[in-house]
Amino acid sequence: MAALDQSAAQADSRKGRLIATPAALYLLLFFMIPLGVIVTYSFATRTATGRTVLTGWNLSSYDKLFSELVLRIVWRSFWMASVTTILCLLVAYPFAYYLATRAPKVRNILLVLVMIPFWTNGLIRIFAIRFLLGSDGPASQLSENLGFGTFRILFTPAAVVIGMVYSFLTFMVLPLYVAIERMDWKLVEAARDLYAGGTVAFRKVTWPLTRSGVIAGSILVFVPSFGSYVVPEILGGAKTMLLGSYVARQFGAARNFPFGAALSVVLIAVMLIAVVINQRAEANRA
Amino acid sequence: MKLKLTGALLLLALVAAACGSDGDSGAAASCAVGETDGDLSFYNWADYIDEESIPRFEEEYGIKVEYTMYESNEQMLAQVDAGAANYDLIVPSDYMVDTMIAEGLLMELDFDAIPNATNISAEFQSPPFDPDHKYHVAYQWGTTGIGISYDALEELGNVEPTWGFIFDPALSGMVSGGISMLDDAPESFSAALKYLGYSIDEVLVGGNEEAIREAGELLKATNANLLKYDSVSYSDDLMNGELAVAHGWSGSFAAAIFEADAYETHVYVIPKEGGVRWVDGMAIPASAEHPCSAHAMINFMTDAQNGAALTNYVYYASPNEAATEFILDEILEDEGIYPNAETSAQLEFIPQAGELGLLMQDLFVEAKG
Amino acid sequence: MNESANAVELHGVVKKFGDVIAVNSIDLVIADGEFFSLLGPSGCGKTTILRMIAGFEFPTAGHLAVDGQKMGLTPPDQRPVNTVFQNYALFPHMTVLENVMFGLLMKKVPKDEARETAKKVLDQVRLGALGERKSSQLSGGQQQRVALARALVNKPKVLLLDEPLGALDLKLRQEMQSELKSLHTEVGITFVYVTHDQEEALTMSDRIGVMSEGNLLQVDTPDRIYEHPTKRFVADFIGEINMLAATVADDGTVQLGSEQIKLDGPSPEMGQSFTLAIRPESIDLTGPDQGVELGLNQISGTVTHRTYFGDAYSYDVETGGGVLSVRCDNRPDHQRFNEGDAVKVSWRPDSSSVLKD
Repeated sequence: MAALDQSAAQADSRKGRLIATPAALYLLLFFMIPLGVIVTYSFATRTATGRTVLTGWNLSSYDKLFSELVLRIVWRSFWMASVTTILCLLVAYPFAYYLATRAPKVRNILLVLVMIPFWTNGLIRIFAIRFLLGSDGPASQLSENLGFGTFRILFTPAAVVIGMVYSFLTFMVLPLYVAIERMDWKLVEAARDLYAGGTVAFRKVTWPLTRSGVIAGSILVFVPSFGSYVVPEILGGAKTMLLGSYVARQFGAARNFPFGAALSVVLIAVMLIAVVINQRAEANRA
Repeated sequence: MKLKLTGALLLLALVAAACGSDGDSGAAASCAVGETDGDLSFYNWADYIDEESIPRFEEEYGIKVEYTMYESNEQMLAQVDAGAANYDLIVPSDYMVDTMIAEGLLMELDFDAIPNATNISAEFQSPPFDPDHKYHVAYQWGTTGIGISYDALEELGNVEPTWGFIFDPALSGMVSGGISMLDDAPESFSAALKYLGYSIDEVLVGGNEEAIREAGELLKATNANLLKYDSVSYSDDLMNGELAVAHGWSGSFAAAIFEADAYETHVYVIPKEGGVRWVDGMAIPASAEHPCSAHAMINFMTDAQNGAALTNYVYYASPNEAATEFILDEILEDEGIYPNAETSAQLEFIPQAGELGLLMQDLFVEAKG
Repeated sequence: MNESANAVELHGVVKKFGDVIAVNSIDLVIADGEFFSLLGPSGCGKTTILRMIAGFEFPTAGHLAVDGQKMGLTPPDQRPVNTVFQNYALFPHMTVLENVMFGLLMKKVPKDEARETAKKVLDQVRLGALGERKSSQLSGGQQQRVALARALVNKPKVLLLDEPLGALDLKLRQEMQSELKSLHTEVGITFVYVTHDQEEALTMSDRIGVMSEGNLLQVDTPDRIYEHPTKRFVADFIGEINMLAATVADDGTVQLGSEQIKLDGPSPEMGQSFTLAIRPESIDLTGPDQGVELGLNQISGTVTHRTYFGDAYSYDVETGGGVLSVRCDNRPDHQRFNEGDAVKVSWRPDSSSVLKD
């Protein structure tokens, strides 16, 4: 009997492995191996002409990570990603709350509306924002017509943040929506019943109970913002150097593959830390 | 365990492949005139060929051309170096020709298969980056200077154009519109060096690190006065008013001014300190699989009439002497495209910069803050 | 506080959700200290009434008072009531003790004092040892008691209980029923208890209000509700009952089919037809020749079906007044009848009810 159970379990696990094989192969080929190449390159040497030679392994690319310039770029990327995340949260939370508390029919329509922009090419949307924010764009013209004069926001860090908030907002809305939607509203009623006013009930119950969504959404926004490349290039006028652009530059104009690889390793590390934070939060919640 | 071993082996194979690409220069082709050996993979700059040439070539030679585009020499280099695709024909700029020769990435051309190469004017037959004229055939040449609106010029008191429009806060402060520079370290450093009175060639070839650092400081001080760095849409932005002063390439301005019919409002100038002169050449990567088709294309584009069609479309100057008679007068007479002798004397090529190139890249990022 | 006030009063309370009338013009007074149950099937409006008392919903028309004070649009946090929710609604991110302390802290009771009070109440519901657990680590019965403690610790004027035992298994439910009842006696707080379980309502309540489709059909003590329902729905909803068509003849006699019977109390008007309701256990079954106490209604009939329940037998008896279901306790002296036997059924006139719809 026990033997039969065991062989059944083995068969199950074999079947499981078989199903997972295409994904495993794909990940091995297009994720693990490139990751290995990146890590390998980060210890390699760049020649004067920009060629990468895979000899003379060294840590100089990692040394360079601690230069003032890099730290400044990392710091700027960090706080711009933080501001983006906070703004996304401020915009998305009330919206997700609204969304989650609608009747299912309305909710589905609104959800589709949220998704529609994401069926449009991201680059096109960023160029649309660029047009919107330009000094002769509609936003500026509206301000002029209202008598506030024209303004210039394009090619400033503010434009980059606006662009990133716009690009990543959905990543915040969806997990928040899921968290709020699955929350038991009876709990809020219970808090109200136990003498908590609306605001206090939100602070003591709704917020802590939707925190998993807040954390998941924040990570989903923070990580791509931190490494963002397209938005700073287009809306920041390449004037605001962020980590993503800096990495791209290493593989492009600067031709410093080892250094670019080392920077990438750092980005991956940040992402892994974020994932661990998320896992911890999930575990705490359960 | 088995999995780990496979992974390690694959990694090794990749590393070996990467090492193996350090081939020597010296691959050479031998082709007959007009001989083709398969469909051509042509990797060129964006907006850098007229609309007629490729269809006509395809019809004439009965092969297909796969045309792909890049936006910077470095992007092209990364692609060719990685062996990502086997391009048959590329159009690197001067210093990149030098770099690619040094790295053995270019194939020696069989000039017997390119009889039209004699159409190329003598001054483009022995440039510093390919002195023996073995690896490239000049495609177009141009200058790097300033595109400016007459309004801005007026604000500046209609003084003689100078790099000070960008670098001198006293002057740039007078411009009410936006100012941009190329998002390109060698170009931006060259402009700064010219403003500071250096010869680009002397600084870069002579290894004058001090001068590079001085230029870096200047760029850093200038950053706050710039609206943006941009190598792609600056000429359009100059036309639509987003920019008033833009550092950029001659042909890009010429085309934009032509398209917007903005001859009354905008102009391209080469500052009094002198600017950068560059030439892009057609070359064949050492890894090309259809070198004879590539030779055929080079010969085709070097034809007098085809060369003129190219210039008449892209608004860069032609190195093709025989083409001159077919080029539109308005282009030939445009000093922004064909600078006069006095201005020409002030122009310099950007040489291959070696370690200083890396330094410039770093300082450029530093300048951006 | 108002010593003499009724705990809850509803006057002409209506609640509509869109076009749907959930609660239809209800008048109800619940006395201070009473254990009052609202009984009815799901969707009858009982929970809506509870939610209006709690302040989660506001009446569309009419008004509602708690402890003598008109509630109007007073939000839930400013009402002297607390609720035990259907699935307890314990805060999953807090410990048991934190759950119980919540209301006190919201009322600005100092933290130490709140902790002491909460612990005492937890002891009262025999959960003193589990204060530091997360609520998700407790069993259903334990969660139930935490929910009770969390509400009672605030000493509300009225405790609202929304099907609090619905999620428990039968044995636990019975245990909790008696516990709730004794807790009610102990704390002396008014309980308003919503349930769809007739047995729960009957065993625990001082009074029961039976609801259907937004209407409050009958409010009475459990025995009156069970033995003398006034509405067809009430009779039908609670337990088994025989319902037979009857008429009052012009001469004032009551006619049940071909049989003449007597009623207790005032009869319906002459010439009117009505429904006569009588519980199966209120009917006696005897042999056709056996004598029957004087003054009882008696009709002869034939057993058509017999069902064995262990503690009782149930017979279907075909009579001139219709088919009657009769339930006889399975006592040693019980005379068992077989299908086809001729029998006589009899009942006291005051055991039957007259139902008007």
